[in-house]
Amino acid sequence: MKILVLIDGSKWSQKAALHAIELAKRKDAEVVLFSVLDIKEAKAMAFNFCAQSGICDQLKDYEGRIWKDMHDSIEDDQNSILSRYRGEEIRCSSKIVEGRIRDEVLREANSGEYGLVVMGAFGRSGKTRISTLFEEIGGAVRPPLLVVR
Amino acid sequence: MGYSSSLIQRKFRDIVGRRYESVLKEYSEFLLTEEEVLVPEVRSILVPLDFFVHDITDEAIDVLSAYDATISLAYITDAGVVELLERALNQSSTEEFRAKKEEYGRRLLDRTAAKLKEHGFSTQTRMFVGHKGDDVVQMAKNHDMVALCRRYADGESTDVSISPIVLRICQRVETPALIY
Repeated sequence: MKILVLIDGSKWSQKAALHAIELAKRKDAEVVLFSVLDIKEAKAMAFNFCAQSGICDQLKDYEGRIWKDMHDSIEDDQNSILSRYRGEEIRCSSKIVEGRIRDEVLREANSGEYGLVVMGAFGRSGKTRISTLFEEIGGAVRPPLLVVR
Repeated sequence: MGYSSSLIQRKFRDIVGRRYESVLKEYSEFLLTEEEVLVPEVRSILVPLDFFVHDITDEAIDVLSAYDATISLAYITDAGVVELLERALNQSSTEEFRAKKEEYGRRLLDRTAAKLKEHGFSTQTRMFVGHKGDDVVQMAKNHDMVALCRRYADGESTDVSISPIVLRICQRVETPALIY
């Protein structure tokens, strides 16, 4: 079995990864940590920050820096999960793609490669409300979907 | 190095020390604690069934087999429908409806339990009249995981790919939820 874990940088997705890896150990399964980065998020963050701070002449610069930070941060999150299990015989890899989150997640999850998709119940906004992504993909993901808390 | 210590080193270099403790407290919703790193054991799994759930898929069984857990199958007949029938029809028609539902439920429970036993699961079954959303959330408190068919409590709608009740249950349960 191959398990797809959706990593968005939240603690909930990290919990999902830990749960998936424990499950993979029992099933001798392979785990893929999967993240999608959307440039629109970097644009929105840069715009809001620059508009609020009155530094709109630096908008493009901030967008570039935020975009790079988003890449670095998600890579760091994935690597920290992988490093926890270094030395153990677990087949675990990571994948980062750019695009619209819902579309890219569904493309990957429904590629026919996976027997299970695992995600956190909440996103980066915390426990305020259930993950918007779950509401968007819950009915469209073909493999079983495990929502971890 | 512990997970939190590692996180401090990587992302909170500038606030190592006492200030990290206050950040951890104030932003606990966003930071994984050492306790949360531990994956809880799953010893009992609740699997609700109803008229719209015809089977547990082989894919779901494959996932559930990773846990050394007892499966509790629960067939719930919608109390709202029973109440509606009691108001609209006479007692004997309501009883007839209920008996038919229970007969169907019993067959489904037996068939599903037999399938799970073939895969080595120990099972227990339960059947009652209740409120599908609320009762599943309530029962889930006594289990370590809940496994829900996407069509559970779906009515006759065909235009949605996941039942709104399933979404609501997922919002409210405190355990992991497997959607199949």
